[in-house]
Amino acid sequence: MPTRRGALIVAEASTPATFDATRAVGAADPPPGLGGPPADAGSGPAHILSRGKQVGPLMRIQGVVHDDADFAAFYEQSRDACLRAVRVSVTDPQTAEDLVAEAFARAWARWGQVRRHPAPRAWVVRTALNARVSRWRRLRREVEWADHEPPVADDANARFDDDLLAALRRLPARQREVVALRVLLDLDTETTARVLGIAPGTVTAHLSRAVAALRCDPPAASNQTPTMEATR
Amino acid sequence: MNDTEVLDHVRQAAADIHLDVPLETIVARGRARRSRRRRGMAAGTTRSLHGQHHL
Repeated sequence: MPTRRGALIVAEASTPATFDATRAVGAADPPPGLGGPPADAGSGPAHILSRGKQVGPLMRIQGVVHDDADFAAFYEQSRDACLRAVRVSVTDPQTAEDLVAEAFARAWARWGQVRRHPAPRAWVVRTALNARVSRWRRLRREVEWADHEPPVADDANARFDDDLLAALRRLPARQREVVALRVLLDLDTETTARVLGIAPGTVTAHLSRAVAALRCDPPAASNQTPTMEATR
Repeated sequence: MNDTEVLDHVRQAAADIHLDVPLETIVARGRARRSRRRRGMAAGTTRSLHGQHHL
């Protein structure tokens, strides 16, 4: 029977395996850290059956098993930062929120893979921005025919300094991405470079140019907070 | 204004932005998405087997 990678695991007939796709990792397992070993590392009581080879009492479907507590911790730590990074590129706050929520839902559905990503937060931001493009393509024809009214900004999420936001959006795409990852997601230079597929030195150069552009941008530079003035 | 101050300004400007979607909503959407994907994969496997059967 043909199998698709990651889709089908065959249990040995002699194994009285219990199967729970949503909690195949045993409850007694300590939730691994975000940067720790992958869930299928084979430690603890939740041993895994993989491709018919018995290694323990539970079997899993690769890429589907979730550690809900682990994802919940990731969500709590990352959701605001991811939304901030997406807001740099997405004008409407409600749309940005929807896109980030959708990206987190996709991350949950593929948590086994996403948790092994070098920067899961960056994965969420990239997924949200890709979803934005897909959504735009889907809605393009509808907008042509429908009476399109611009969405009303939500006050709670419209507090991003409009001038600064506009200045960020005037940056070239690559510089904007670097600002989003380095500054708003707080990734280090190495990780940012890996995520964007560029050299660390290029990240530094893009960030330097972005900062120079923001400093020279009249609206953004003139709208300083009192704290900023005090630090001069 | 030096580079650090510019970056601090960006961070401060974004500090009030929060994602208020509850985790339960995210999990529900993820579960629905995963179910759709599984159904699609099952349908693809069935079509593949059916196609091989007729070859």
